[in-house]
Amino acid sequence: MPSETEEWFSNEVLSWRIFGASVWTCILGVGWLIAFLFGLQFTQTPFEPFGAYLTTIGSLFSANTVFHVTLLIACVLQWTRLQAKHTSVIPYVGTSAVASVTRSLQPDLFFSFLQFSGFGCLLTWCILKTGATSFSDLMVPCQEDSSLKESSCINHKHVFLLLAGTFSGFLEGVAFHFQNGNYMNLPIIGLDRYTLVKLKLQPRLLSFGLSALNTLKYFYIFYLFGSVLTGGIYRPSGLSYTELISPSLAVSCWLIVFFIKVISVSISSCLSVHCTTPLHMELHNLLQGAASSQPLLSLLSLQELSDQTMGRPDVRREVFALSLPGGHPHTWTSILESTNRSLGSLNKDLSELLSPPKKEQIEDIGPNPATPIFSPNIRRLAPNASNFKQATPVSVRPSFGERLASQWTDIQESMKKRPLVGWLVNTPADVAYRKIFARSQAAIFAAEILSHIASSSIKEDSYGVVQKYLPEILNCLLSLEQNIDRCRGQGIVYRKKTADLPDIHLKQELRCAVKSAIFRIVIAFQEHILAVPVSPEFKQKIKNYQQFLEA
Amino acid sequence: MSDHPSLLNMPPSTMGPSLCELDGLFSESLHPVLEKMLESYPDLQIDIDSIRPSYSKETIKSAFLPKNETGGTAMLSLWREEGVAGLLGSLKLNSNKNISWIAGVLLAMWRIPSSLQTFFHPHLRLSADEMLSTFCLTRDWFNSPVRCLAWHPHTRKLAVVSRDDCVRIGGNGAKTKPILRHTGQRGISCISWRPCGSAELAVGCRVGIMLWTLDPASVVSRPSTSCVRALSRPGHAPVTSLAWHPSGKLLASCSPADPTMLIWSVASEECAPVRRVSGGGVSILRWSSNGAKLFAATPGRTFRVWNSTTWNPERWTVPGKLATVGAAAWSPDSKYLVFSTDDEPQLYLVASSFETDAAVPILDLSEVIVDSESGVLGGGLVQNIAWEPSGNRLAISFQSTPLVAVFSTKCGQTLSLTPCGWIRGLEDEFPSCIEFQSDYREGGGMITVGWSTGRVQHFPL
Repeated sequence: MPSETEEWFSNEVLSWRIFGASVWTCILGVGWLIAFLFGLQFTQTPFEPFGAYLTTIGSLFSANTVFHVTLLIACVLQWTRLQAKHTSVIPYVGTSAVASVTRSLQPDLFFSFLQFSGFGCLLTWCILKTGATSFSDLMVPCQEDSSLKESSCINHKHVFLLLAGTFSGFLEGVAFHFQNGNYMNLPIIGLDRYTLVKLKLQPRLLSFGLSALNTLKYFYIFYLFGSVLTGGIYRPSGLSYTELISPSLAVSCWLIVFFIKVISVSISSCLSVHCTTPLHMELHNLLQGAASSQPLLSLLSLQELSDQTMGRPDVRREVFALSLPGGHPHTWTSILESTNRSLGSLNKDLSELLSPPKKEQIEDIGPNPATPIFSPNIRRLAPNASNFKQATPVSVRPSFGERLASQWTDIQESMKKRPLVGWLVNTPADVAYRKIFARSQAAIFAAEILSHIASSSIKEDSYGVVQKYLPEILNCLLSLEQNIDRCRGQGIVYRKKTADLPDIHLKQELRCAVKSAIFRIVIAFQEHILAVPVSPEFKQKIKNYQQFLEA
Repeated sequence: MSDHPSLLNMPPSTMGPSLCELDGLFSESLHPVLEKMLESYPDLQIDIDSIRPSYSKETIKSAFLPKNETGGTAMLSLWREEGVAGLLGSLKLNSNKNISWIAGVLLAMWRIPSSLQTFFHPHLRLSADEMLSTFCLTRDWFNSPVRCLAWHPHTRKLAVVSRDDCVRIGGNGAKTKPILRHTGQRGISCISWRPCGSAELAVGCRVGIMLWTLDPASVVSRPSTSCVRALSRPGHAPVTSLAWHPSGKLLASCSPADPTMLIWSVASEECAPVRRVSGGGVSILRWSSNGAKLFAATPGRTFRVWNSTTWNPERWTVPGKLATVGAAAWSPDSKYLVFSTDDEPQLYLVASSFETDAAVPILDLSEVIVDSESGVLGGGLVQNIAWEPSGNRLAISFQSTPLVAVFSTKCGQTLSLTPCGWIRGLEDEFPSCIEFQSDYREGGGMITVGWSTGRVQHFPL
């Protein structure tokens, strides 16, 4: 049953934010359309830039343009809705190529790819119809045969550009679902939306242009391959070889691919900025939000809770307060549950990954063994149960099915070492770790919240509500820090410096946040922290923190 | 005669170098208890003879013989060394009239944008070293043996920067005193330890920020370059001021040549730019101790106080055509901001509780004769302001006089400033930089003064 806060967030806040993002993307879309129309006109008359500018301005006020701009806006709105449905606050970690293809065949994702391709095609059609160029019409008068002068032929250039738009839309779908195009990261500081959108788009425009060239390269290869396959190598179907290498067509194609990319990224940027705007709520609603199963609401609530527990003594007073009547620390209990969920689960997953459970069966030796020894030649030494506390592992002979499964696994492993098969099925060694660290954002906020509250408790916690949990808090943070450090050197994969992986950034931020959280508590308690009963394995660590000997 | 308190009310200074303040009196002798306490403090004196002299680009160039290059190679070398402007300037002197004329026209066109910029913001004409010298809070930055110093916010660890761009670290009981050097670390103007941490030090220099992560338990005296990360952005150099958010999560940096100040998330090495055009750059940053406000002074008449939640600024303008903010400091309870300008010896106060939108002058810092026998003066235009973290003391150093003025402060409904005394150095010595120890728990306070002779003095208050 969704809570009051969840319902309010979904029905009022999120829907209005998506609406706001849609309005922004429509305005941006129209702006980009005008810019790209000018570019298209310029390719037709490269030596008359002023003429191209006037033609563009003139074409904007025609009924035809109004219709197609309206269609473009409707397309952009629908595309925004589609992207909003698939956004995520947890970055995607790719495994193998085969796994990605399998995932993309799921109905939801498959339909999404179709929609991306469709939007790419529709936007291309809108831009072609709006700009009065030789590529605008699907049917043009035939010119080759004089007998067909009065009939129409298919404008292969128009079809070529539509296919380019469709292909570009499909690739944008791939980037959206598999290259973190749908990932909404929280901004470093809460600047205004205009600045944030500008920061997301402006520095990347040049890279979009270069990426569009890359897309164009692949599209040309596929088109050539397809037209040779259908028409033969000497007379390929569609455009001829000379028409394909026409500069104005190539530049127009590049512009269209660039346009689709810019529109797609503009939509995801506007959505990201609008949806991740900080959520200012009362403490009671924040607690409900933090406990929510909706990842975005939970994250925004934790973020706001972190800010409030840091900077507002009145909020902390409520945390340290006991309920009347009853004297129960409800607020603190809710906070503890929310923070435990993120910190605890991360800790548990890391522990399991770093120290997997043993596979051998362990048989305890109890005080009454199943087969008593009655041989007169063996002195009967009654085993003392208290002496035999250690269990010795007993090997179990694998069954036929298990042997078969193990052989099949060996065959799979040897196949994976072959070059092409390996590329298709191998997962990088660090995938398991990256998937865990991809969930770090909530844990970062949880660590901050606990440290702000715990560090303030020395002066503000009159009833000892939080202080009695200090050992658990420290154990949790120290254990997490230890697990993060143990992950160093595990599953090392060398990547290009340019590979910007959000989960790697989150891991670094998590490490930093956990260390800062421990320091914050230690600094507040000073030498009294040494009296807190932490686990024996962490006693020296706490001492190092207290003496500032931890890096 | 001004209407507010002045340095005339200050007690006379000691006849010789002051060593401590005891029971409200500045003394030339050190109490045995204080002497014993100071033995545990890091001794980071800078020996002037052992540090290399500061060299500018021209002096380095003069050490080499010119290479005889001709044609395209010469032009390429010139472009690499001096940029487009240097290349065009050289071509303008060519004997061929046509080449000279074309180069002259191109040079004039090239200079139009920068001429417009420098017309509105004259400080952009300065070289990097000149900019560092002008806007850094260290007095006589270029020649000073001690360029800046920084106390760790939570422990007794001190970092001192010397003129040869070495950062020396001592204290906290460590036997090793690491020296941090890096080829990219030139022209250091500011350093700052990260709060809620033990060994991360941000160093602002000519090319940007160098972030050192040190192992406190290490016995290595020269940490390797693997301990340092460079944080830089094009156009954001030289960095003249750094300020950490009290939580240690964010680092703000600024440059007088860049109207954008950068807020770094150092863990992920990403930054968010915060930009306002007027002022031509940002020269000084100060984060309040509760992290709610960030003070940013520009090389022009404008300074801003940013709300660090909404990132909306309050814009202030100093009177005087050529006045700029020279130094500033927040009170430890974040209620008050004191600042001074570089055209008049006044201390101004901005308080959040004020009903008016104007800063109030609270102290007249005009020069006064402190020692009539030796003619030593105190006061004048302010070089730097330091506020003790416990809120009890305020120290001010000056641009042209050799003493540090210390005031007793009390923050409540209003701010009260009571003259305490003068910190006096050796003869012909002036204070280059001052900083209060953050983590002083022995009762009272400790201020560290880096003197112009390379002496680093710890002064108990």
